[in-house]
Amino acid sequence: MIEILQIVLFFFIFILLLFIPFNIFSSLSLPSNIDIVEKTSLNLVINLNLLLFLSFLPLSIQLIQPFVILFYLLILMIFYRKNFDLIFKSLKSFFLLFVIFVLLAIHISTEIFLGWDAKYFYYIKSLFFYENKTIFDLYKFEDSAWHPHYGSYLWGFFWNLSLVDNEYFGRLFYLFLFCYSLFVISKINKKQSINSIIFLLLIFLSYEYEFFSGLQEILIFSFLILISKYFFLILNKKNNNEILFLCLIFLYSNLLIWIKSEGIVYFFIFVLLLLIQNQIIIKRRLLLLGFFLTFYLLKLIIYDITDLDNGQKTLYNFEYIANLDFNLIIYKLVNIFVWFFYYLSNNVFFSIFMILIFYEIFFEKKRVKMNYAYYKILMIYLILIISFITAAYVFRNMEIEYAIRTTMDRLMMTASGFLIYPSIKLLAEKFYR
Amino acid sequence: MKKNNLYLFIIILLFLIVHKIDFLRSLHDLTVIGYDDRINNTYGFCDKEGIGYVNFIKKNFDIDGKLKIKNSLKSNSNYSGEWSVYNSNFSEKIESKYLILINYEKIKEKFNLNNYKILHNFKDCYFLAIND
Repeated sequence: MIEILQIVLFFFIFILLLFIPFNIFSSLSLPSNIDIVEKTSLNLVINLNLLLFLSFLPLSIQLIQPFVILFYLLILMIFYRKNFDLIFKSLKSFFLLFVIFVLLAIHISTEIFLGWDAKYFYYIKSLFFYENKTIFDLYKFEDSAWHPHYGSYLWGFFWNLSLVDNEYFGRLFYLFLFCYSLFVISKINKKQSINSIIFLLLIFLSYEYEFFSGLQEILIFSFLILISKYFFLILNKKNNNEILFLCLIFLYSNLLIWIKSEGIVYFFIFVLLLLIQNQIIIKRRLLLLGFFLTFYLLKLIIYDITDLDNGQKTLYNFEYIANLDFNLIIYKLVNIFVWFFYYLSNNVFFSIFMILIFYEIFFEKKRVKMNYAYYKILMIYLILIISFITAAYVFRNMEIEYAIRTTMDRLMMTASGFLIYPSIKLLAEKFYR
Repeated sequence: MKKNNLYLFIIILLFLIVHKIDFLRSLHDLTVIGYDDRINNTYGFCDKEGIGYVNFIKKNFDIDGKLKIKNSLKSNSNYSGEWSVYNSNFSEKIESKYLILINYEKIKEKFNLNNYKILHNFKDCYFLAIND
C-alpha cells in the first residue's frame, strides 16, 4: 500500500516541476497570450536543464537534494502566495494525466525487470549517483563510461527521493515525461473530451513496459514529441511567440545530447531545421547556431574534464570504415533496406505518418495541402533520419543482422517521436474539414 | 459527435489500456506481494539470474569487499546477474573477495567448493569467500 501512496506522491512531486519557477497564472512573469500548457512545458524544461547543471557539479545527489527541495518550496511559496487556489483548480485539468500515470506506474512497479542497456550501462550509472558519487566518479565504470549520464542522473535523483528503497521510483520520472509529452500534444481541439480521446489513444498505441525498463530511448522519444510541436507552432502564421518556441526547442534539444549518443544526431538535425527557416530572421538563426555549437562544445569539454569521452571506438572506428569494401557495403545496405521496412511496418506511428505523407503527396488537392514550411521540415527530417540509420549500420563494426535486430526497433521508435504530432494534426484537419 | 458518445469512447479507451497492461493483476501483485518477492518472481531466488539470493546475502551479511556472481545461464548474455553485484565503491580492477554461485549443480565442473570458504548455502546456491 505504501508503494501506491508513494506513486501518488511522486506524481505530485513531478507535477510541481510544471508550476515553477514561473508562475503560470501570472501575466507578470510570462505573457498572457502564451497557452498555459506551453508555460508548464517551459517550466519543465527549465527544471530539467537546472538538474542537468547540478549533475555537472562535484556534489552528490544526497548533498544537493535537501537544498533543491527547500529552494523549490520557497519559490512555490513566494510566486504562488496569491494563487494557491488556482493551482488546485488547474490540477483538475491534469486529472487524466494523473489516472494514466498511476495506472502505468503500478504496471511498472510489478514488471520491474531491467532491459539489456539498463543492466549494462544506465542502471550502473544511476547506482553511482544513488551511492553518493558524482559525474567525476563515472570514469571508474571503465568500459561504458562514454554513455551519456543525464538519464541515469535523473533515475538516481528520484530513486534517492523515494521513501522506500526501490530503484523503479527513479524510472517513474521517465514515465511522467512520456505521459506529459503525449498530454501536451493531444491538446489540439477546443473540446476537452476530444483531446482526452487523442491522449488515451496515443497512450494505448505507444505504451510498452520495455521502454521503461531503464532504456534511455523513451526520454529522447518524449522530447522529440514536444520539439515537433514547437516547430509547428513557430511555423504557424498566428504565432507571435517565436522567441519562446525557439527557446523551448533549444532547451529540449540540449537535453538530448546528454542522454544518449544518438541524441547528438537529433541535436544537429534540429540546428539544421532551424537554420533553413526563412521566416526566422538571420540574426536569430545565427544566434541559435552559436548557442547550439557552444552547448555542444560544453559537452565535449565537460566529458573531457570528467574523463568520459573514451570507449566508443570499438563500434565505430576509422580503420574499419576506411577498409569497408564495396561488396560488404552492398550486403549491409540490402539488409538495412529489408529490415528498415520490417521495423517501419511494426512501428505504428512511423507507418501512419508514411501513409499520411503518401496520401498528402499523391491524392490531396493542392489547396488543402498542409503548411508548406512544416511539410518541408518533416521531409528533411525523414531524409536525415533515414540517412542516419543507414550510415549508423554501414559504419558499425558488428555483424549487420545482429546489430539491426538488437537496435533498429528502438531507433525507429525514438525517431517516430517527431512524427506523432504532425500525424495527429493532419488526421484532425482531415476529420474536421 | 454527441458528448455522451465521446465519454463512452473515453471509457472504452481507458478499459483498453487497463486490459493491455493487465492492471488488476498488477494492482493485486503490488498490494499483496512485497518488493523483494516481486524481485524473486522476476529474477529468481535460487534459480534463473538469482538476484533474489544476491539481495538476501546483501541484507544479511556485512560485505566488506567486491562481490562476483556466477549463475548457470548462458554466459555473456542479458542474464549474467553482474549488474546486481556492482559496487561503485570498488574499482573494476580490484579482485573480488566474495563469490555467489546460483545453481551450483549445473556449473560444478567450473568451480571447486574446496577452494572457497562457504559463508552461506541455500539449496544449490552458495555465498563463498574467496581464499587468498
